[in-house]
Amino acid sequence: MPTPAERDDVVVLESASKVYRMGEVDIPALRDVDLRIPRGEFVAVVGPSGSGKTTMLNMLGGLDTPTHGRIEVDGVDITGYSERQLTLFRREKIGFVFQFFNLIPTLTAEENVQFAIELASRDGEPPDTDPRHLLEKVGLGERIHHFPSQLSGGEQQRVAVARALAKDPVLVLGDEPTGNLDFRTGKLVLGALKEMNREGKTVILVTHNTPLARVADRILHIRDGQIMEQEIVENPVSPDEIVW
Amino acid sequence: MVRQVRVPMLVLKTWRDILARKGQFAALIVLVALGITSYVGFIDAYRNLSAAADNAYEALKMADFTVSVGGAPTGVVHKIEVVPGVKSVEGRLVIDTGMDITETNQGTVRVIGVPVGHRPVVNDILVEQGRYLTSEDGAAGLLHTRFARATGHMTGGRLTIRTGGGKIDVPIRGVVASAEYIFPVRAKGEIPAIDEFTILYMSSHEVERIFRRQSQVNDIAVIVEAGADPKRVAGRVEDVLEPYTVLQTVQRIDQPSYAAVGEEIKQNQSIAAVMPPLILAISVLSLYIALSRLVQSQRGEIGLAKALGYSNGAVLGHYLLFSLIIAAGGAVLGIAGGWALGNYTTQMYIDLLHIPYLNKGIYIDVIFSALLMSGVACVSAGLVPAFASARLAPAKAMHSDPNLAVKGGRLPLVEQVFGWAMPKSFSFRVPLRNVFRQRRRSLYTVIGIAFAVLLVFATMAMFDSVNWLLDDYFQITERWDISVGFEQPVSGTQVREIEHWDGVTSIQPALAVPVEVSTARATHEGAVTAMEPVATFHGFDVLKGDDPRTALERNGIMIPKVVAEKLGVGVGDRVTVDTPYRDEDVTLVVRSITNESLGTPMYTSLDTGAELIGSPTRQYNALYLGASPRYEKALKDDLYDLPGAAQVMVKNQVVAMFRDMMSFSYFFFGLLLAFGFLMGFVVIYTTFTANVLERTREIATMRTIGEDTGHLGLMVTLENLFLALPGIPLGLWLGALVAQGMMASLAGETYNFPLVIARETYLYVTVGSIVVLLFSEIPPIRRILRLDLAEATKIIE
Repeated sequence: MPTPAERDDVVVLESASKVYRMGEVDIPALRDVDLRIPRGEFVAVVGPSGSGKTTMLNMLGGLDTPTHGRIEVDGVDITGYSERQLTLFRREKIGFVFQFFNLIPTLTAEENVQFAIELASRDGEPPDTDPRHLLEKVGLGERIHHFPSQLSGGEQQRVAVARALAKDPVLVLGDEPTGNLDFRTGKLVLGALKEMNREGKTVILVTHNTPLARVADRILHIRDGQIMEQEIVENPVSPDEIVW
Repeated sequence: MVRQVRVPMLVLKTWRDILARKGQFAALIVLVALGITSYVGFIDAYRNLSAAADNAYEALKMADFTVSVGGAPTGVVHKIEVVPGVKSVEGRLVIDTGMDITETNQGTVRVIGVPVGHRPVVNDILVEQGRYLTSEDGAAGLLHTRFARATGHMTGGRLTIRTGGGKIDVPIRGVVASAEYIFPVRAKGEIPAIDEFTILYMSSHEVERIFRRQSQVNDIAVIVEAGADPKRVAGRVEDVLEPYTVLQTVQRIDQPSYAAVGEEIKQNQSIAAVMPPLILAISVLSLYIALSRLVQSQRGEIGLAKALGYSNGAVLGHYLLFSLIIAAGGAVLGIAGGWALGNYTTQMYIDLLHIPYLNKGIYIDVIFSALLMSGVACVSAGLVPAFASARLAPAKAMHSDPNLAVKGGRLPLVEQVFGWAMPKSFSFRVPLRNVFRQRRRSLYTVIGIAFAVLLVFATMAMFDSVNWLLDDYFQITERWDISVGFEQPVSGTQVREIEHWDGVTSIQPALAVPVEVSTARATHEGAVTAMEPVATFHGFDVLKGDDPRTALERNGIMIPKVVAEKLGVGVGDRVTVDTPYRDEDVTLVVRSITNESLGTPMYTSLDTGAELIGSPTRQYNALYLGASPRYEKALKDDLYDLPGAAQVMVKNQVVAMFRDMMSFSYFFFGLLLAFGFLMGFVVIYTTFTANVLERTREIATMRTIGEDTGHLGLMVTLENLFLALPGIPLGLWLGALVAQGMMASLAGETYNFPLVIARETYLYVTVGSIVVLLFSEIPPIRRILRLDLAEATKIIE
């Protein structure tokens, strides 16, 4: 087993805590979490509502900052990043897949993907990705000129997956990406994420659906803002095999 | 036992919804308030002015007409008293002469004789300070309030006037206002020269003595019996006065001050008619946009309310309540603002113009009509969204709004056609498509921007036109530096002498003749200026007919378009010219029709002028001088010293006086500009706040995947510019039309200057509109910056 110094960890959380202040009351959402995720791993985060899984995902994605502790992504400490730095960080390193797809309604499927490429190209070399190819990969080669309103929920989420891939991110974050989909289309989206992981992307999937987490290499069980258990999945299941 | 009053839940919800969107609702209330303020303010102002004028005409017994004669015995008044239709008569001596305002500054004073045993029965005066004249006062006088206050010649002071052969010091016993000189002007269309011309009332016996016109009158002021026709009565009076050379009969409607006050009231009425509907129309559009957005964003709540058992009527009422609250807020603020504006304007009339009997009134009918206007405007804006809310089926309401999606799966037509030429960047294409996403909202925003630009541009256009009058008219049309009018003819020798005075660069003599120009259709009273064909002191804009030189050489008459239309004549037609100097009329051919911006001056040759006054040789009673600026003051003094010099005008001083007078109008220009810019701000702010609220998740998503706030700001700006792109030119075009309409409504015998819009004005208004647009984006952009991305990306839209 490689030592920590030898490992290529994409994500490092050290004593990361997050406390929200609601009026007079402090509400801890994450407590002293330590976590390392090596490059290319597929990690599922499960836990009940309010357990802190989304808070952790938001901090990893640069949408939120820790109250205490340290966060490192792709070898860069983002703990004290400014808003501007976080924007650039998200632009370059993170691919998001949201529960509600969050496509830009005025852009076609191809343009939604191209939009992410345009963003990634702004501060450097454009990523070597072709939106059409990405859409074909997620099975939407025939729908590239359709607007989101002309696509089904599953199709929209696959466009979102393609968009997340477009910038060639180091980390893909999925926050309940199947939460708004039916069983069949949910599996298609999960398949797309799994394919992404097979190609070397590090994927972190937040879900409250435990069976679905079996597609991951590792499952983090979170409760009360703490990682209560880390479960290594010896034989991750294929999305086709999942029943929920 | 205390009974607890329970507020209905939907009313409570209305209140909380308003608090949650207080910025937007405050903006809408302000917009409605602006409309109501303009309505109440301008109506109050013109009603106050109108009431003051009516009071003055009534209380001070303003004449229905006056007849000027060369000179008639005082006893003629008794003959006129018995003319059928005459109610009261006052015979007076009215004499224009010079005065020393200071040791080095001179002007013209109109000395009017008044009785000392009793007050005048016609054209009485209101003593504001001091007291009325008594028989012990001798050659004392009462001075017009505006001049007295402007120059400090108050009660107890003295005014030096010229008496033909010399000067006398007139002790001032009182400061007075008068109905016939509310605006102290000598002729229609004349600019009030506040510190250059005034009226001095003296004992009629003293006026007779000082000016050596014993037992004479030269001005008969008449009030007619109720129901009598002033024109017919004037005809009978003229018959009685026939032996004494009737110079001019002026009906009240043509009386210079009466006409000037009428113009002022008309201007206020025009603004009151144009402004409020314009602003309220914008309020309706903005309110519609805001309430439509509110209903869209509360679809879930509407569905829930209906599921819980609230009726369609209750939901309708709930959303109409927003309109009513805005209407009430706008009306209350607007009425208070309008009252303050009306009072301020009235106070300006009092402070600057010293109009007698001016009070700050509260008009209940105006308040009620303002409430009604506000209510109707707001409820009509809220009806469509409110009905839309009531019609929503509960189950459908709880789903996201399909309207938010891009329908039809097509690109906007403009992109389909011109997409090849457009930038490929999404920072350009996303805002462009957003414009076509909510077409009705975009259309209303474009209209709102256009209306705001309209108001600003129309105001600036009027401003330009006035500036044109000051900067160009007095250079291009009035090409003299000093003009002097005489009460008696000036000899050629005198003209040649003056030509050699220091500072005189040119001199052009003329003859001004009071005339009545008639055709079968109408009669026009005015003055004809006779001049050399080669004279250049007046620049002509000939619309039809001969050029000035040919017209004058052919001994015809040149008349302005307004007079030609009134008389129904064209080039080549004949008009009859009646003058007080000869019994028989003279027939002249209309050689040219001209465009005159100020007044209705008519022109003819000096030979024809001599014919009009029945003289076998050329006569002059006016001189137009070119002068070196540094000699102007000295020349003015020297000219006043000439025998019979009645009025000396230095053009630079006239322009300065006009500018002074315009300072009153600048307040209104400034007010209209402020209203226009504020309206533009609210329109963009309301629309964009609605847009940002509606697209919160979308914007948050863009930021989450790496779009920076600078580019998002650029997208917001571009979207607004796409809306401004048609809105600003449309507003400029409509503004020019409205300004043209307002100029046309003001055009008459007094003013007839053209609408002149400077090229820079297009630029200034466009740039100004864009600056306002950028400012109005700030609140919605701040909202974008403050978004909690983690939360906002999960909003269900």
